Amino acid sequence: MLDGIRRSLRRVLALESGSGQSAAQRLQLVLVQDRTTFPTETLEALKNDIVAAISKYAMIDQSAIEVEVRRSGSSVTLVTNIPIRGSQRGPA
Amino acid sequence: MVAKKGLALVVTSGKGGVGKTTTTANLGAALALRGNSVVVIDADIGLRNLDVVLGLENRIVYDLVQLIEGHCELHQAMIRDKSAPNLYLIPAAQTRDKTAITAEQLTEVVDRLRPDHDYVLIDSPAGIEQGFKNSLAPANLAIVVTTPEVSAIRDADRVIGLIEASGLPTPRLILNRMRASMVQQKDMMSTDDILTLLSVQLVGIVPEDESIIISTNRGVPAVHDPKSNAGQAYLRVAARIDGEDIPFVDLNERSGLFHRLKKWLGPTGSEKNA
Repeated sequence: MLDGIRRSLRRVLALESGSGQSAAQRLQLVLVQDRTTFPTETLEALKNDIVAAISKYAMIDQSAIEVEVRRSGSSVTLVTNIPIRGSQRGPA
Repeated sequence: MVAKKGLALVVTSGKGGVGKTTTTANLGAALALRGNSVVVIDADIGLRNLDVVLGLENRIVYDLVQLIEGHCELHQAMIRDKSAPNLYLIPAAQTRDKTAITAEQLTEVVDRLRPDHDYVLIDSPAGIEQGFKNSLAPANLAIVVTTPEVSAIRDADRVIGLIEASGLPTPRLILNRMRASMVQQKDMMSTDDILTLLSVQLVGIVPEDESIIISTNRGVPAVHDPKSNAGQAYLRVAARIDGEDIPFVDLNERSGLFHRLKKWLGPTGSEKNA
């Protein structure tokens, strides 16, 4: 009881942050990750679509393509590395 | 005769043990007490529970699987509730598993119920596998139940994503087992915290309440107990689902010394009401 009051006072006086706040902060990061996790098949399909789109304009080395999802903190980036062997002459 | 609404709602959560079945029972009873005709379906095949929560376990003759397999008529599988008028239960089979029914079959049962009833509530099994997908199929709207814990909220987020991907509208959230005193002491995420994380609309806040244990022991949903805070909260949820504009109640408990001290200290500006 006395402990509870002491803790409450510390919280009210902002001497200590509650565990609710750490829960919310941890969840924020976890949910961003969960929401942007692509299943392997989805990532493969995405890769194929990118290859198909770019092949219309440039010759690319299909075996050297990399597609990955990179995370830092709460930001998520889709990073692709597509080596081009040369652009096609004229419209495809 | 007034035309029935024929709305199918699925009650789901992802994580087990957050109060799906209790919510289905109480919402079903509360909607029926408001004058609606309601059918609750236990879609948790193999782990039947809605019958005991409603106190109807001794009246079961036929179940959902027997109905789907054609062993009985629709009305024979519907058990009339003993406490609420126009509330019926279609129980799950206890000796079968989730593969016993398909989404199409459940949809067909629900579609047969629509013309004669205002609400069909489907109690979904936990998880995100076939049983969950089946229970989503007939629904017009999903109600996601969560508790203010990291694991429950993470699973709720996953389930909300799956519900939206299935083409249903963004689900409505019931926040279960909230403890105002812990929110005040900042040892529990607040309603605002959770709504921001999940970006969904709230349809109810249900406080942690021992009366739920007692009402479940007795097999009479808490909405029948005017002294049950959780029961009263479920009545308000039912009113909102029924289209009434009911403000969300401030759950702050009058918690003795701390409350009086805080009142005396005045608002901190960062306090969020549950």
